[in-house]
Amino acid sequence: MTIAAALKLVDLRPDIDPLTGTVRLRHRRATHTLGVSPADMAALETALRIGEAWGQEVVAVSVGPPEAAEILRDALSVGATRAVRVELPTAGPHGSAGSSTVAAALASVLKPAGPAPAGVVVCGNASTDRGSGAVPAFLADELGAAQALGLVSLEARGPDGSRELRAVRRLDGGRREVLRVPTPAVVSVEAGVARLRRAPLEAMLERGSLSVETALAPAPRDGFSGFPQRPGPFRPRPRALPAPDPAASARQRALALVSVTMRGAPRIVTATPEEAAEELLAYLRETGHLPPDTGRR
Amino acid sequence: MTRFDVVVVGAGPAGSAAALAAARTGASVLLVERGPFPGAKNMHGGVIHGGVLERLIPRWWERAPVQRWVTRRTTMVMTGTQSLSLDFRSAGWTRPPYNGATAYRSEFDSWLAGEAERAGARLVCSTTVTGLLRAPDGTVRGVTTDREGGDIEAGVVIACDGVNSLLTGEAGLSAARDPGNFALGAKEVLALSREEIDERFGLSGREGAEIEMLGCTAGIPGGAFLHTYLDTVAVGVVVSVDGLSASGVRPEELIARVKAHPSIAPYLRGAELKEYSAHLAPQGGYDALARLAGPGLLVCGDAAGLCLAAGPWLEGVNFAIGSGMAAGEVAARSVRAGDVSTAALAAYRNRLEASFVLSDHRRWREVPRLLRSQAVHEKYPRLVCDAAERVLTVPAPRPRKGLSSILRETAAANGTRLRDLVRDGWQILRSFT
Amino acid sequence: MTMLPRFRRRPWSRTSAPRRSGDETPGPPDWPEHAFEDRMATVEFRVAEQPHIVVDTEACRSCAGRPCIGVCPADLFTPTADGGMVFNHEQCFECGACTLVCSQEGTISWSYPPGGQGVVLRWA
Repeated sequence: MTIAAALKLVDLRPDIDPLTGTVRLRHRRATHTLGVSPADMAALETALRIGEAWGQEVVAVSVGPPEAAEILRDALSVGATRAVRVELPTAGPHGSAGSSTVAAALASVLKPAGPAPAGVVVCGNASTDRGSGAVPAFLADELGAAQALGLVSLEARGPDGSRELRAVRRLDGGRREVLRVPTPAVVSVEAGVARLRRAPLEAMLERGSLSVETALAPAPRDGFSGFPQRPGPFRPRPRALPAPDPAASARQRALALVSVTMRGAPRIVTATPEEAAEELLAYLRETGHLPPDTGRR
Repeated sequence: MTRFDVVVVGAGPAGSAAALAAARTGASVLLVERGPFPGAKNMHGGVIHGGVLERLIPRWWERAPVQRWVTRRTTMVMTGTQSLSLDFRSAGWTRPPYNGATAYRSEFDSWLAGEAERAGARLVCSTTVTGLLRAPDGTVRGVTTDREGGDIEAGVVIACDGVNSLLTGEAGLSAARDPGNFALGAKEVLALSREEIDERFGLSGREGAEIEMLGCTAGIPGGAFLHTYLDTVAVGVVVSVDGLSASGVRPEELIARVKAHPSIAPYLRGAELKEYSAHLAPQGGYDALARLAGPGLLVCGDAAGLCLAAGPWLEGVNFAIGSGMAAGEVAARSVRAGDVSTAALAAYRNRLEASFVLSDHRRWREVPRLLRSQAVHEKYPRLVCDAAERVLTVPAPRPRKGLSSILRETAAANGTRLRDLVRDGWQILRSFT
Repeated sequence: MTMLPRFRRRPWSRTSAPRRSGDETPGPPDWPEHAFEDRMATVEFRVAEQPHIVVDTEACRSCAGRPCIGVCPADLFTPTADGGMVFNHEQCFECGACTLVCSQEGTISWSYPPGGQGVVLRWA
């Protein structure tokens, strides 16, 4: 069972307009700023450790432009056995693509019938360029694998020394959740989980001769893969507020509109996962975080 | 253990030139850089005088990542409120082989290291050399690095590890580390649009401006500079470390003073800070050089102290490239001949003595001492500016005074005797010619 | 890494006093243009786990001048109330000025950070 590490090429020092928060591309292309985020480095180290503990091969995979071959070569020099770059021809400018498209591209390589079938896929928690951490979840869905996301620790051995993935996940309020993750699995780890080892000198000397395989991603199912291009900076969509009770006093109405404390007490829902998900979606629609007509998945 | 004929430590201009020159002769060359890419640790005043590159890379200007070609060079003598400029422009500098170029070191050094790689040298980044391997007789036999299995055997090691050269120190070749022999450079890179820069400095196309300032460093020996890039401007100071330490003024305050000066502020209005950086530069000149060769070891560039820092003028990259080229060739030849003793490697120093590298240092031997005197960077700028102001101010209704009496009076008001002025002027003239 | 915002230790110092009226050195504004933290935030530092510079703060107690404080361009030397010295290696430019001015040999043990770590300059 191969262990895979999914890495993303990101601009580690983007040039951000201090006024609008948009990433500027006016300045020279910063070839030296491309790299992988600390979380992805931790993911690679975690994959290498699992591979060592289980005696398995480790494959590094990245969906990205040809520059991504460099980070894969780095992965090979620290001990990955194979590296595959997935070319996504439909990606938008600067290689941008939606989470589900990236996950589908990764899955095309990592699925059991793909060129690098993997039993465990380790991803970084979230990329540094406005990442939402959604790719691992989509990828688990694509692969039909178990998922454990946002881990703060991942062990490759159970307490009795058996081959088993034991994970600790961060929950709200400082709580932790200890998980035993079945395989196949997609996990994502936080940056603090592990510090990437350094390549031995010999591997650095041979770096130039290391070869990275290239695979072509399948066409996206819904016909587009890039983020919708926004002409201006990102703004969250306005939230639809219910009209305040007309019978209330003017002060009460004003408070109902502007105050965060008046939004009602927290609600604890005990339900099956499906019902709970529906409940959550309904709540998000009600508060305007989701458009009211989300019929799509 | 891996073996290379020549191991070059540090992929700055000196190291890349050495690796390139050695690889050209067919030697196996390893270039080790501790930064994640060549140039990541490097900073310079802003201008590269690349004439010497022509010998190594013909028509280098067509390939180097140059931002602007310096076609306008201004020397400014200033006080807090006044400034007197000598502004020189040359159409000759707008054509190859050019005179000076502004470039970012992250780009320039990476490019030059890439040229060395294309010539056959092997480049390894993100690897710090931690020490020297020595034979029982003391001959340097290689280097140790901070990577696993990181010992590398070498015919000759070329130390291009910069102004704080740890290798030169370990080999016992470095000169005394007197703070007076070093200058601290601190600079800000500020973003402005390309059109705005062209307009403010009177430039077009790839033309660039360079301003050197004397008298704006709060009485600390040194100077300030301003350089234009395509869409950024670099402003910084180069000050003697001992003077800085004695003054109690912080480096970033010195930059702030320069930026606030009425002659400089209009150039920088509305510019946004991109990066702040600081670095040391050797400024001791010919008399503070390290020993350039030991058994199995050559020293180049800043590591050897090869840098001319005279007030606002700062030249280092050309000497680094010049010394690196000579070292690379001598090292490769010595390895081939099988003799890497100090005597065999002395050919390196002889070549530098015969070239511009050491002859320029010898010619300017007295300059560092002279420019560190209090008078030159504080009294004389004020004297010059005051005299200029009196000459250029229309005194009506009072009658005009003669030039000599203005000079005499200004000198007296500044507490300078004309005799000292003449003597220092003569010394300056003599040490530069 | 988080650093508590720090107030400047001293106001803009003016070493050369105005000599006569009408000749006031304008100097920089009375407040710095950038907070020092903002200035340092423009620089990328890949922080190594182990410090590459170690300061023997015992020796600093007996040091009168403490030139390192003013010279360090990254302002990394901070005196403590009890006469000691706190040094933070995380934003070091690796320039070496501190070792040059340090009055006591061996107080500052100085080396380079591991390969690939430390300051990364792009516009210099």
